[in-house]
Order: sequence, then C-alpha cells, then structure tokens
Amino acid sequence: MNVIAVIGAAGGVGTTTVASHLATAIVQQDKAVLCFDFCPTNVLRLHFGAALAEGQGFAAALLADGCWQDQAWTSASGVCFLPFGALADDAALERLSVWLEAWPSWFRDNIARIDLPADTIVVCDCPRLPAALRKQVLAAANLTLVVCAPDPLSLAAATRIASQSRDTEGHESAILLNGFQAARTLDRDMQLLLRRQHQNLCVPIVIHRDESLREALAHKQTIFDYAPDAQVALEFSALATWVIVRSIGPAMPVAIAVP
Amino acid sequence: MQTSSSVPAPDNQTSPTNNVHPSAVADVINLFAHCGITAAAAAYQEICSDADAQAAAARWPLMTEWLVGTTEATEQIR
Repeated sequence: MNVIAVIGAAGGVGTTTVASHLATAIVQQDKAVLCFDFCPTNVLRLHFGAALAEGQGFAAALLADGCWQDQAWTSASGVCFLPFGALADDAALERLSVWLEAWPSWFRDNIARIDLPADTIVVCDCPRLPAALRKQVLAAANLTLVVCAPDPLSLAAATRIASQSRDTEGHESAILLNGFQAARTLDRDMQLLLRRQHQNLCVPIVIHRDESLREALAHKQTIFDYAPDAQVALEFSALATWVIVRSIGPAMPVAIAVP
Repeated sequence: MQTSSSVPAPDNQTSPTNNVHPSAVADVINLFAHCGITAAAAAYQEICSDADAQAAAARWPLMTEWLVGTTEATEQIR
C-alpha cells in the first residue's frame, strides 16, 4: 500500500477538493485507489456523490464495535472511499482521539490488512486537528502532500509542515499550490519564491483557481464529470501521474511478441 | 604596404571598453566572478533566478521576512 496524506497548510485551502480529485484522477489512470477521510467535518464523501444526510463512516463504527471496514463505498467514477462518518457529539470525537492516542499505529497496522491489491494508492484527507487523527495518517504515509493557498500565511505554514513532516516522519513531503491565479502579482511572486527557496519540496504542478470546481461539488460531481475539458481537470490528471510515479514508479516498457 | 584606416590604434586595442557604459563593464566582471570564465548557462540562470526572487520578495514585506527565515533555516541545515 502507498499512503498519500493530503493535509492543508491552513483551513479552507481546498484539501478535501484536492484529495477527492487526486483519487479520481488516479482511478482514471487504471490504478486502484482507496480514499480515506480522516476529517471530522465528513465532507469528502460529498465529492463522490454521497447523500448529505448520510452519516455512515469508519469513526462511529470504530467506537461502536470496531468493524470499520464495512463502511466503504464506491463512487460512480469507481473510487472506493471510506467516509469519516457523523459522530454523535464532541465527546465522541474526544473518546476517539483518546483511543487513537493509545494506539498511535492503528491506521498503519490495519491498512495493510484490507483486501486490496498491493499497489493500491490510499489517498487520505488528513486534518490538522485533532492531532491524534493527524498523527495516525502521517505515521502511515509514504508521501505528505501539503496543500497551500497562494497567501503568505499559508505559504509559511506549508513550508513548516512539509519540512517537519520530512524531518520527523522521515518520508517525502511536497507542497502543492492550489487556487493559483496567474493574473495576480502576489500569486506569481509566491510561486517564484517557493520554487526558488524550496525546489525540493515543490510539486511541479499548480492547481489553478476555477469556478467549475465549486459548481462541480454543487452538482455532486468531480470536475472530470462536470467539466472534463477544464484546465484543472488536466492539472489533477498531471498531479495523479506525478503521484503514481512517486508511489509505484514509472510504467515499464512491455515487450510485444512478434510472431 | 598601405595600412587601412579602420585598423585600431594600439591604444584602442588595450582598452576595448571605451564606448561601453561603466556599469555594463561591472556587470560583466560580476558575471565572470560569479560563474567563472567558462560560465555555464545554468549558473547564469541562477543569477536571474536570484534577482527575480529578491525582486519578488522586496515587493511584499511579509514575504521578505519569510525569505530571510527560510534562508537562515536552510543554512542551518547545511
């Protein structure tokens, strides 16, 4: 299993949108994917067409009886996803955090037991808080993708998170600039400075700001269904290729037997 | 044998920068000092990138502080 942790540098930078579209783009390139929502906000499922009122998810199941594997769904576009689910109250989230703190490697230990192909890419929508949930994902991740909006505070947080993740967890980290608008001077300057100062931490793709993404969610679709010709659809496809190459390696040439 | 009038006098040969602005000469000297006599294209691009980054940071005071902070952190790691 290759675990990709998608974490936001700050709130509202588009982490869940990136996670859901990355998972869909990977499926479109014929790779097995499990998209795992670790965010208590429980909104990842909406990108995959789940009903707003649907509260099923792994967190409540884990607290109730521990049989969380049965909570997975498959979207119309073929993405297998596991919602966080709706917890009864804050006390339940606190109980879950305490339980996970006591077993820091729960996710890493259990993800390998799921009956999926060995080269499956697990895309995790990773929250910054609670820390217990974040630590579970980062402890299992092979690659941390830090989603960064083109604003100075987000950039400062992203470089700190990516550096810490690389230094403490010992795995690859990369910063993805999301919501980029080339017409804005600050956006261009931030991209330049990020590439100049942290070239080894930069994803070589930026996701441009596109109104179609919001409209796609309002239609309970991903951009690949709603506006497949949009530039961001191509950018997510490129991001998926980059992630696949980093996770599994490049496609190998196949010898064709000539009779 | 006639000598062509276009052939520069010996004095001109030793000072080829007579008609060049002094700042341009300084730029060339700095370029060779930074990249060496056999300057590689990549090294020259690095200078451009440095200049662009400094100009970008200079436009935004907060970005300047971020640039200084990350540069110091990078130096500490090295």
